[in-house]
Amino acid sequence: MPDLIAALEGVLGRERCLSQPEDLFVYECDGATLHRETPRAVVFPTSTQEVQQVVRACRAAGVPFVPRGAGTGLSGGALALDGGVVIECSRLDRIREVDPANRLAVVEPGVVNADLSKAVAPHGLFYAPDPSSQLSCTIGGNVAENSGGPHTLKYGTTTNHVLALELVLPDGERVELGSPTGVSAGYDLVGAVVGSEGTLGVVTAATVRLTRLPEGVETLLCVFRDVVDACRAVGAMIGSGLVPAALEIVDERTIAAVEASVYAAGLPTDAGAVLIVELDGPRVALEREVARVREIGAAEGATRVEVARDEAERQRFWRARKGAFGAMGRLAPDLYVHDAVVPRSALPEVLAEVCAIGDRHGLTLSNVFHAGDGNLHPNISFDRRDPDELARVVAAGREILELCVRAGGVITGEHGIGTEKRDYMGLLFGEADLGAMRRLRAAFDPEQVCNPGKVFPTTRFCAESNPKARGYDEVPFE
Amino acid sequence: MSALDGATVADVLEPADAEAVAATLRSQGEAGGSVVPLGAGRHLALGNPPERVDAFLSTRNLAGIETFLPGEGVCRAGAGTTLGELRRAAADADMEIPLDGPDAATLGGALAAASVGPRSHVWGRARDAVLGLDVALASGELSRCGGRVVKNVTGYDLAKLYTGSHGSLGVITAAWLRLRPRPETTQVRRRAFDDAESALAAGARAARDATLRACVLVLGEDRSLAVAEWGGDGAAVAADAGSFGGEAVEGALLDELAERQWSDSCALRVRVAALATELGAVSAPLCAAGGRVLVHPGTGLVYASFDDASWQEGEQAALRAAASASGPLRFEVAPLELKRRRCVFGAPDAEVALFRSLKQRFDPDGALSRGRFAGRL
Repeated sequence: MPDLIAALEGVLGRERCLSQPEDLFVYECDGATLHRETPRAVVFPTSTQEVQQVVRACRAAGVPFVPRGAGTGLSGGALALDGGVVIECSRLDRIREVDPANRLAVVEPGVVNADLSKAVAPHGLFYAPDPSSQLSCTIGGNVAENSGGPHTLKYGTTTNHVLALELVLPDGERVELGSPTGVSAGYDLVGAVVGSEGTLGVVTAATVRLTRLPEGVETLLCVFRDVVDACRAVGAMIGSGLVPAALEIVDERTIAAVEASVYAAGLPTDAGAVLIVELDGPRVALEREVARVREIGAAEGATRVEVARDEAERQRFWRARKGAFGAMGRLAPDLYVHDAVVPRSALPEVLAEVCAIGDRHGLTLSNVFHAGDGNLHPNISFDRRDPDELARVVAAGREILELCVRAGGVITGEHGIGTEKRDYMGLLFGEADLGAMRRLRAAFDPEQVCNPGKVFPTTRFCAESNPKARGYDEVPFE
Repeated sequence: MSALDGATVADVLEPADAEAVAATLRSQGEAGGSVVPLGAGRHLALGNPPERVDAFLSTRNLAGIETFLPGEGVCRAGAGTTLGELRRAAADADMEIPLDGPDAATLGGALAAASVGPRSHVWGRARDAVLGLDVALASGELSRCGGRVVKNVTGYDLAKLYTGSHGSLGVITAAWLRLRPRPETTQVRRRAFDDAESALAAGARAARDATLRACVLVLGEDRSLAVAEWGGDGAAVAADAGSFGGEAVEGALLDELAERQWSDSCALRVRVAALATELGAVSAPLCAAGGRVLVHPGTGLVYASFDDASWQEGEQAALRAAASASGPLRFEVAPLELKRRRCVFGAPDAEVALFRSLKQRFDPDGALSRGRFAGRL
């Protein structure tokens, strides 16, 4: 559609509007590389006004558009379906304001998550949501997916840290939602937009809450013979009243991969699992909390509990967790990072069955997970060029999700639905539930020009997956 | 027969269960009628005069704690369950429900009104306590959103929309909530000040304490009071609370202050949301107008109450106060005369347009709280 391209070039100039196939190739997918779609164009606005003009041009041409951050998403949320236009937000990268006295910042969507924390650190503050991709993921993407991370356990997810939004609606109008106090005068539209996966409009600025840096941090590495023992230790720690900042488990398969890679962290390769425990808060309280973690770890079968002696050692412990995905690159060219949540008490049984699913399908499957909130990440290493293996990966993925729902869980804790899981929404929601979500969507985007084809099932009827029909509303794991 | 802001309410419907709630809503909509959901009525005063109200729709038969899993940190209860009952159950398991509000309020009412209180500083807002909701829609359908796990991004977060919607988009029939461990130690202290500025400064300092749970300032022209609660590790609490000064008091004092705010009978009560640096400028005109002013420095909320003789001056003072605030002003209790002149929620026009779009889709026939919400929707 040359008219649209001409219109977009008229707004942004040729250098900020890509439309040649060799340029569009990079934007065919996000971190979920199994799903690829060639966009019609990719544009790079640098202001809210330019975003408005782009949206209006797309709408006038009847062409959908999709906002995109750093493209680190893992569910296909930034895919441009139906020949849509990608609105690439990386050049909307200003920190517009930092207000230390009121502990807030106003940032544009292209600001990198970790860069925000770095910018406010001199004020004794940080931005708490810390996805594993925080060195590259952007605030806009975090808002779209309601991103979490290892420290969600204590600090919550993105939705707990967004106070107000500047949004370009699908009709091109600019609107401010909420207030810097976090209090809304009516419906909580900020809460509705966070996690809406870029389907209700394009966020052009976010007012976010900043958190005071804790006075002290202690990081422990607990080594277990068995992942079940590690899971029990997690339950015991939380049950004791502790509120750790993070509780992360890495299983033996992941340990083996990490220790064979450049991310090697000196983990014992004969361990069944390691549990990383991070405590933060007033220094006067930390010594007792460390002692409690040691005591509980030992009681639950930890063969070793190490306390990081300095920042370098703390980073070494975390390398075991944060290097996991990179380490998988040695095993196979492709990695499917799954994401689901189960009740904490169901973790041991679910993990065992997840591994069994991987074994039954002849797949290389390993686990890292946010044990404190029951958020699993089964990782399957595979080669997409083998169609049989690819089919087994997809089949195993569905079985894992069905398993998690049967256990009382949900199909995504962080990555979102996107295109990846839209056809699994029926595992959890019936028509009335999805109908209510559609009403929200229609209120913002009645013409469905903003990131269409995401979140909602592509099948018209969900009868096959109706949770009531298949008994998924029962919770046999209780 | 009851009354609501000048309207006669002919009936109180008491559906037996969630399905009956949904059926009632459908039949009301089909008949062109409208109901106002009713819990314990503790938040009923907040709202515009109804455009039409045929009945209250009571949630009293939706009461009861259905699932309680302290090991998981979650529980599920019917909308008619009181906060007091939830708190007692949580306390028995050494946990707490992170939702502030009067003990007598129902869960559904507290969520629909996005209830806040002094401990919202440590617990977060009402929406942060919610994991999932069951909602009866005006269409007659029962729907659910969220789930029973503490981390969930499956689909749109409709729970955020329903929380604080004052029953205008649907009737909450049940909720999955978070549970938090009770702090190991708590300490409450009280300190008097000769002026509001000193109290505000002390409140601002306390708000920076890692162990602060709640702080309420009672401001007066010549005497002010601060009451604060800390919780957590004993040594950390002792250090933070000790630096506050004043005297240790019974923990119940904070609850009494909060209850006084929620049940204060007055002609006008306003609430202004402000940033920490704005609290002084916001509270000054309210104090000067003779209001009973409470400030929650941890959450940035300023409340002021006025009686029959002073409410008109209070209204003007509230508008002056709001001019210094980055958050909205709302009139939580107000004479009918004021409510007829002014939308009590004070939402900006651009947001009201989106509110209208939502209301039209969720409740096209106006079966729910017609005219009561922001934008008179």
